[in-house]
Amino acid sequence: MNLQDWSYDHPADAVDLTRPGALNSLLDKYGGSQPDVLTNVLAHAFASGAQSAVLEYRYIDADYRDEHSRFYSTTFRRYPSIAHRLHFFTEQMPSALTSQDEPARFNNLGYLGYTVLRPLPGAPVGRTMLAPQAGTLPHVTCLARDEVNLLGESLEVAGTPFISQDAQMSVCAHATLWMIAHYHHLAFGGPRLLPGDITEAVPDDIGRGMPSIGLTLYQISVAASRLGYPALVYGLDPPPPEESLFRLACRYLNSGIPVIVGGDEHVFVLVGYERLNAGQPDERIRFIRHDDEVGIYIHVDNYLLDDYAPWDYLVIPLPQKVYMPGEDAEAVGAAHLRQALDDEAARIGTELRDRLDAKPRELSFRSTVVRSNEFKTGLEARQVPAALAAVYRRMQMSRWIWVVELVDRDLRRLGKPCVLAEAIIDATDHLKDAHVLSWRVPGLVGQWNPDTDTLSHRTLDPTPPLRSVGRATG
Amino acid sequence: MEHSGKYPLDEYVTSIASGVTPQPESERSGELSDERAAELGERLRELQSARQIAESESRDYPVS
Repeated sequence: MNLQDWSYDHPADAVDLTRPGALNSLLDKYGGSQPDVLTNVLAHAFASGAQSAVLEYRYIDADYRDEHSRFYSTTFRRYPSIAHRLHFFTEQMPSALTSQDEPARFNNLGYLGYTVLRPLPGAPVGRTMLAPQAGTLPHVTCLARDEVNLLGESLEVAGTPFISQDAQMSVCAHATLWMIAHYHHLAFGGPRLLPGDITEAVPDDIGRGMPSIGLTLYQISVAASRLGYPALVYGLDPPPPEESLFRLACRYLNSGIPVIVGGDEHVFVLVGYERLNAGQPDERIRFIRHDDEVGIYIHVDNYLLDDYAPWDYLVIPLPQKVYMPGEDAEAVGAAHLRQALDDEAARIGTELRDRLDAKPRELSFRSTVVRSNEFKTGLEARQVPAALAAVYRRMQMSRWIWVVELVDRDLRRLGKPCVLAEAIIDATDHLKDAHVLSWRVPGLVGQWNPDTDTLSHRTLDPTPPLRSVGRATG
Repeated sequence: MEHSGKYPLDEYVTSIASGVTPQPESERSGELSDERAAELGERLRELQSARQIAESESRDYPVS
């Protein structure tokens, strides 16, 4: 890379991506010696309908500036301290854009997001926020909003953050932790963490910190805890009893929590999933992942035949106050819902209780961890009846709650409201004395007050199946 | 501020009720039976054990 080619005397350029050769020119300029990830990003943008792009020069990117200050400023070879940023739009740039008498306007041009281009020929793709393609969008459960300012114009994009490893300060494990941390920052208000924060959080009792040749899962797990996201680790050979890769991963993905997978000595991040051929003998789950060495929103049609098969471990960094693992919450919620259906049989009948044990399985439990404020504010959008919403909205709850739903599988397959009952569990509760804060079965909602250890209830009119609190569709 | 006692707050508030009615101790429903509590305890121990094994076995798993 010629250093002289990185500085411009004007702030930005527009690119007409429909011109033959335009995408190639971007690859030629920025792809460097490792163009694969940039090729994927450009292909994704183009397939999303990108017609034009704006190259923003002299962009001071916090993440790259941090990498520069901690590492690239220490090498003999010189690297610029500024990055470029490439924004994508579904519309062509208006001719007024070139007017020097008008502020540049980019609203209503179908903003698709951006990718930061680092002046590193060996690792050009920096922080990237691109919306999923329309067909993939409903299945990406880990979506966060990012606000962007381009030449004074505010723009917004919803996506899952991505960064590629630079193979010096960061390898796949660092890049994966960065994606998780940046997602939690945008989605849940966690701190903004830079690449150097992640490098510093990794225990350096095995190997040197920089340049890194790789980490172990232990180092990833400890780093995640130090960064404020204590991680659960699940082995997949075999998975925990009565659990499966799908149940474990989808429980968190449904909650909007990304899942790290370790396979073939590599890690990547699952950001969503899609249920294919639901109800058919060949029903299967297609995962969607960010892979820092390959690119964004990549479909994994069959994990058994994946390039990284066999998948060995799941590592799930969680918000600090989610003490209770999902499978434990599901066991607690399921036990209490069964008990409530037994206790209230005289009043509400035994139909649901009988269906719960029917073969083939008609009902299943689905568990989602969600912030209680989000749960409460979402009740009306989920068309929860007013009397039930009134009870839930007045309840005092922990910041994070597990919602264990009893789901009608046929209704779920049809994409209809499918929740017949639910239990709400304090995500900080004691595992040796776990309670449910609330439970609802047809015709009744109950509550447990942890301060007084008393139970209360309210009878309800018959409630139609409700929409799930989970983020996945179908 | 000194408390005068002339303005009891109770006279100025309107209660926002929880919407649920306490259940008498004798009619408590929704609590796990002993048998179900034992089953749940066993299940939770099983899950915790699987996580401990995964934590331990994954310790040296290298990724790059």
